[in-house]
Amino acid sequence: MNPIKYKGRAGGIFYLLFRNLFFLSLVLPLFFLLLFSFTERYAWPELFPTSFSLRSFKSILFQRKALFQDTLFSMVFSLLVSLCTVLVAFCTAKYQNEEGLKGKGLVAFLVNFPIMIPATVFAMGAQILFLKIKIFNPFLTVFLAHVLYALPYAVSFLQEGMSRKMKLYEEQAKVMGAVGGRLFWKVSLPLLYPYIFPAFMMSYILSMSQYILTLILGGGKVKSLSLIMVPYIQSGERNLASAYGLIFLSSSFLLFFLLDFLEKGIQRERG
Amino acid sequence: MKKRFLALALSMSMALLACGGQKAATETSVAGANAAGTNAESSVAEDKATEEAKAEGSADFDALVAEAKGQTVNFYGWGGDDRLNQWLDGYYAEYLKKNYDITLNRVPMGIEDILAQLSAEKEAGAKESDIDMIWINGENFKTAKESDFLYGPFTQNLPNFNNLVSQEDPETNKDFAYPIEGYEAPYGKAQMVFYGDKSKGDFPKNTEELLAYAKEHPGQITYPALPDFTGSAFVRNVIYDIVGVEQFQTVKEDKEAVRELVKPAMEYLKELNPYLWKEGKTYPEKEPTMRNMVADGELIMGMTYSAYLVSNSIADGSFSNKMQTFIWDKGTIGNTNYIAISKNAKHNAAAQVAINAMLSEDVQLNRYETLKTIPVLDNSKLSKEVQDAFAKVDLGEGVLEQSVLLEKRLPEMPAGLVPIIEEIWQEEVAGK
Repeated sequence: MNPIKYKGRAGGIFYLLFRNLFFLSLVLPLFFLLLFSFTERYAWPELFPTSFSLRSFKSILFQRKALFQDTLFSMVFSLLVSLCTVLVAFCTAKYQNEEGLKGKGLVAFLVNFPIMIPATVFAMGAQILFLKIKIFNPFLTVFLAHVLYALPYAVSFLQEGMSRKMKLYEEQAKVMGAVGGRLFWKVSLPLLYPYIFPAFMMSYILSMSQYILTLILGGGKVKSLSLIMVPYIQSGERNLASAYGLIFLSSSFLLFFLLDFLEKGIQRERG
Repeated sequence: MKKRFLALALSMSMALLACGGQKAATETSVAGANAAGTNAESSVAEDKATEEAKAEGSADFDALVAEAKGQTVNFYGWGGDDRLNQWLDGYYAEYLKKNYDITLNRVPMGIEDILAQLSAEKEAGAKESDIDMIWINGENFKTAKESDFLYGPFTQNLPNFNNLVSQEDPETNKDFAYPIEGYEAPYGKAQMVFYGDKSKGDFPKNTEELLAYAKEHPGQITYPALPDFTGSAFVRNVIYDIVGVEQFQTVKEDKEAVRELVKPAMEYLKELNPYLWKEGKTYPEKEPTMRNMVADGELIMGMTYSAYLVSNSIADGSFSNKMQTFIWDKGTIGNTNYIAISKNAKHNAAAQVAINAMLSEDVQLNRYETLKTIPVLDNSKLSKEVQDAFAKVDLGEGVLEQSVLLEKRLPEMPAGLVPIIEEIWQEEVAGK
């Protein structure tokens, strides 16, 4: 299964070295996040922190509302954002992949626009736009802005997936008599799932970590996890920032495993 | 086949859960609030009786209390202080709920963003604002008041403001020398203090000794880069120590005039630069960064606006117990921070009642005990028992008595001078 073939001894060692370094670069920060969430003082020149406390976790447990209500709200909100983003991205990517349609270049440009401008400018522009078209509900405006912001990433993933052999397979399935829902469930979705997965994940993470956008458009009404976490990061509350960071990460992991579970279900269905 | 439905059902139920769950949550909370309302009625009635006994002619305030009942008040302010957040969400929120049936919703948002939102709302012609109470002072208050973002005057409506707050205290009437005129009520007092490691020799008591101290410990002292709030206050404190205090209360807000006046202080800061952390080529971006560097032993002293930071931090374990607070002989700058109400606040009555509650003896005492914020009440106007209770509060290790601080308290400069001095520092000191 290993895609990299061992090419001699040196190649093998290099492969192992890089693989382990890569692994460490992922795991070490996590380890420090965990360590820092208990650390009060990290005195120079000690190698490890010298003073520990449970203050951050006590504080988070005390702020039950922040922990359960706001975190759950954030997760559900971001899940809905990702769901909507993937749906919109699906339509956009489908349009971009059809032949003989006009205005593809313009659509691609517009979709990718939010990447090209700084987040603050995007937020201010979005706020003025929403005020002008009289959408005052902060939940709706934040939702729409998150979708717009995550869309370019999701579209590029899905377009990648569609531009491959997908069309050929779909045509083949149609020839063999598959139509409508059956075609979608049996052929399109399983083929596209490996691309939907990262698109969904990406949208979720982008939505969860939006601070400026949520703050400015939500006006403090939409209380997401990042809105609680970022002030602690800014004020140098190392242990609280780390502890909230861990909650943040675990929500992403949870979604990852859920999607992974779904993928296994879908792939088995195909086979 | 079954698996496919499972996958579908799972994603559907997630979406349903989101909508349904939220709705159910609001329903229960509404029901809860109703139940609490009936329960709280009796206690509110009792409290009202005591309130009436305390303050004569508070019929208007009673009307406010009645109007505020059952409202949720949004309190916007900087959210990076965990102890303060816990206290607001804990003691203060419970106090409001129990006594007035007001629910406190604390919104962590920096003052720049609050002002930006108020300005956007004004531009869009919004009639109502979610921003009720605002934690504010200084230049930001001046900006907000001049831009007509604030509601007022309202402080004369508050019995506790009239009865317990000193009306002669300059900080009750002026915020950074800018007239308050009833548009904000005091919330807490801050005073610039220094803190350092006792084991590194005697603490400097003025700018001259600070230079010697820095030469003795090169690279172990610094201050946050302006326009950081604390860094800016430190530079103003240096100016006071070298140039003097009075002339700044009257000087014209003209950059060149101020530049001429603060010249000796800027010369001093330039002289100090080579002995600072990284030889003064760069500075910590913000006060918290510097504080962490002191906590980690990279620096040996720091400065803060929270006069009791050291005892709180020693209690947390983030400072070692070698840390000690000190101030300069000529004194350090003190200011008050305030709560204002936005002009179009949706819950104006609840905001006024909540601010009045913040100024009550119980709340200020609890705040002093828990957070050790210097109280804004006039000690001589308090009852004997409350005075004793204030005196009994254990301030913890490594700090100075309130009386020592207040005796050496210097007034803030006029709000308009603050950005001018920050600009001059950028031009003449930073990186030089």
